[in-house]
Amino acid sequence: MKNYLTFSLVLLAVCTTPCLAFADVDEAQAQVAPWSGYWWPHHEGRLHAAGAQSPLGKYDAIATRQALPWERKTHPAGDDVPHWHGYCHAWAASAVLEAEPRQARRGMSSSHPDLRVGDQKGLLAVSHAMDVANHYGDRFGDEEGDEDADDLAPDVLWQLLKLYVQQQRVPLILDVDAGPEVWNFPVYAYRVEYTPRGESGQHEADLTLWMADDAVPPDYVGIRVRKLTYRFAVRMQGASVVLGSGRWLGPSAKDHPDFAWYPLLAEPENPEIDYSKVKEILGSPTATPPTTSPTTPPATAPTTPPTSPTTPTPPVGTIPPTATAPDSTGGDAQPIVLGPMELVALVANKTSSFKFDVTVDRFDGGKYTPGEAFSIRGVSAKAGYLYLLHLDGQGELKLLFPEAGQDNRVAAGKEFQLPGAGQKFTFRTSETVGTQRVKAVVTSRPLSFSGADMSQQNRPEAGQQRPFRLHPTQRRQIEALLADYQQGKEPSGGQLTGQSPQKLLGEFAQDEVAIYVGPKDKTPRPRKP
Amino acid sequence: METILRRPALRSTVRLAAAPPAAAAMTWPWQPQVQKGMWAKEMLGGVLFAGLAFLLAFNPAALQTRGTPSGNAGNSDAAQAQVPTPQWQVGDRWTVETTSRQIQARHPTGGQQQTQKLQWQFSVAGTDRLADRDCHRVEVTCQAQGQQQPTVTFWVDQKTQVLRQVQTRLPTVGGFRTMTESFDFPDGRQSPVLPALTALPIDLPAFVQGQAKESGKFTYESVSGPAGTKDPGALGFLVEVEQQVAAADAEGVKGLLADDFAKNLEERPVVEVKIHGARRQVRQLWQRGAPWPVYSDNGTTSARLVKVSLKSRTER
Repeated sequence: MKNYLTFSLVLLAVCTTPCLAFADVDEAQAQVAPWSGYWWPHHEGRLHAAGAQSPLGKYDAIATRQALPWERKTHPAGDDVPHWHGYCHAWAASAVLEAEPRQARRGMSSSHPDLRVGDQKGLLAVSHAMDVANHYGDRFGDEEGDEDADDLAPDVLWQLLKLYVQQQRVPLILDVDAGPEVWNFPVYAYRVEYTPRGESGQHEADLTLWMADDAVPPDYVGIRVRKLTYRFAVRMQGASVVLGSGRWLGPSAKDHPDFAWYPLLAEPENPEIDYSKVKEILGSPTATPPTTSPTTPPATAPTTPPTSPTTPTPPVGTIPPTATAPDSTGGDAQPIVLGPMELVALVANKTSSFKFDVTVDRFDGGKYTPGEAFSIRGVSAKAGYLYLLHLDGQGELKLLFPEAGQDNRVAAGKEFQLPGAGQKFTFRTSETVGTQRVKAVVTSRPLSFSGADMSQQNRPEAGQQRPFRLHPTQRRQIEALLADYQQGKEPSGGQLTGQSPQKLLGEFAQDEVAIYVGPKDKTPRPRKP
Repeated sequence: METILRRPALRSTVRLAAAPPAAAAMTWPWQPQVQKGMWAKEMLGGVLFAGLAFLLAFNPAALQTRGTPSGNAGNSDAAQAQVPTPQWQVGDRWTVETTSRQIQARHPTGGQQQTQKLQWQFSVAGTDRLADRDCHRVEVTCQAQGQQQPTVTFWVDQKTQVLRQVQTRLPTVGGFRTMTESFDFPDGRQSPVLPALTALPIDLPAFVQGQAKESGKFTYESVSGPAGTKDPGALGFLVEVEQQVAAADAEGVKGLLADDFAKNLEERPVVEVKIHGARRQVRQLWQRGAPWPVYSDNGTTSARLVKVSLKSRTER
């Protein structure tokens, strides 16, 4: 009797406690992995600016065409060209349909120029600049068609991800900015975690997308991962999603993909580009579909070898954060990819699993001038991987350390200083006057920051820093959140709901230093006697 | 104002909004005759009663008044318009020409760049049995030159003309993958279907026979995989669609059609079908005798029928 009563009480609790509703998961990864490549912004003109040494210059020399003059005339470089105009759509299509050029190619004859990886990727991009494609949802802000920013509903996107990524194991390209700008990325993996909420089949879901990034230098080889997360609600009827019932939630209501597409036929925009000739120049690679594991290598290093297609690698970032801290020899574990919102949640987090302290050379609250150099000192109770982020008063976030190729491991209990003796980089305050912060994090596993722009060289006068290249809608949201954080305000409206650094990273520690950057003092300093 | 009684056809036919009645209609056997004589009133009453009964037995909307303004589809005609059901036979072929908007290009296109016109060859290649239904198998090949060409195969129920399954050969690195999407109808009703292929619109409306309304709401389930293979617990997607059918304004659509189909629109009128579902909208123009929409637009791709070669021109 007692057992029966206990069982009944437990059953009653389970059935009436919504928080115990179990989540279902739908996830998949493409077998054909897209490669990262540069997006050739028009205002830079890198496809033609170097003349005969540019990708189009080399093509014209080999194919005896006039592609470079056409490009210069049609897409001239210059600061008056909107900085978001470029070939991200063309790169994305070529990354999905073409094998990745991974090595430089010698000219086909002595009179033909050699082609670097960037040249080859550039030629593939221009070959796909006007592809015929399957489109889903209409582009918002082009004053054509249906100007509905929400026409690619989350349930429809989910269906497309199942069709393309799960069933066909091929990537699906998304314009991830809901506004007028178009930011195309090929999505190669997704995860939907959905939980019943209330009655009538209502569910709430978390969608994570992994995609190849284009914020890489032209000669980059492999995949640099960009990760985005969304929330949505949907109605289900039995085991079926009711299409048309989906709606984006929270920050995703404004920041969600605009449209999806998959290229079917290559079509160049430049009439001087002959696709078949480009394929011939590049050797028409017919290799078996590359199944490169989505790793995050340093910017210019080759990637790890492709994994076997029979043992697909789960999407990076979903490996449970239970890995032990790296040993002293620095065995590298698979890096955890942080999407932008997850990064914001990490910055706003003030809890630590272990003791960790950092300070700057002028101590917490120290005063600096714009662009002045500073250094960081600290000590962590546990060994791990150190990351330094800089936040200015306007909510702009930059990654200070590490840069590609820099060793960011710290030992337990041992003080570190950056820059250290003999290190040839500096940290500098930004030009904005006001309170700036340096956020330091030590994690048990290496991290990869989705959206960190690896495509540009550091300017020495700015010191070592890596900005984040975010699409406009997301940038506005994140800068607003971080500006609030700077002012000591809590994020409002559930903006960071569902973002849990602890769940993602496992054990980690954080600390923060505030520095005050004042206007440059023009009064000449008195000389010392 | 002359009132014309028309006998509705046994199958759906297209009514043109402002078409004058065909001369043959005046000689139909049930045209009322009035006889004079001592039984005239009774006879007249009987005929009128019979006429009323006739109208009630058939389509009350068959009552048409001459003088409907030309060029406009009146409400009564919109209600009568039905999509002409295509009748296919193995060996039928037709060609569709498409152009697409380049919405993925990052720079503003200043008036929207369009892809070059592509031609797609449709061929009713055979019949297959799919999930216990006999279906026409239609194979579509792209006529683009010099590169890997996507092809599409779809299956349409022979009896109901409902789209049952679509296979698309997607180009990928080093070859192709075949994407299969199939469609179930949980309530047993045939439904318009909007498949995931949008570069070549192969959306099909519900061709509802007899007295059932073709305008209305329908439901189908989209399944990722071949027809009849969905696991009961596997995730599917229910699509609620709405279909609206109306007679099309001849002058308004003439410019959209290929020359062969734009001729003699009075004799071969066009019916407009709009299908809304899952945040998509497809507009189609159907014409009696054509195996495929003479024009369709799904928002990013427009397609028009340019050439037809039918083994038989028999229609229902």
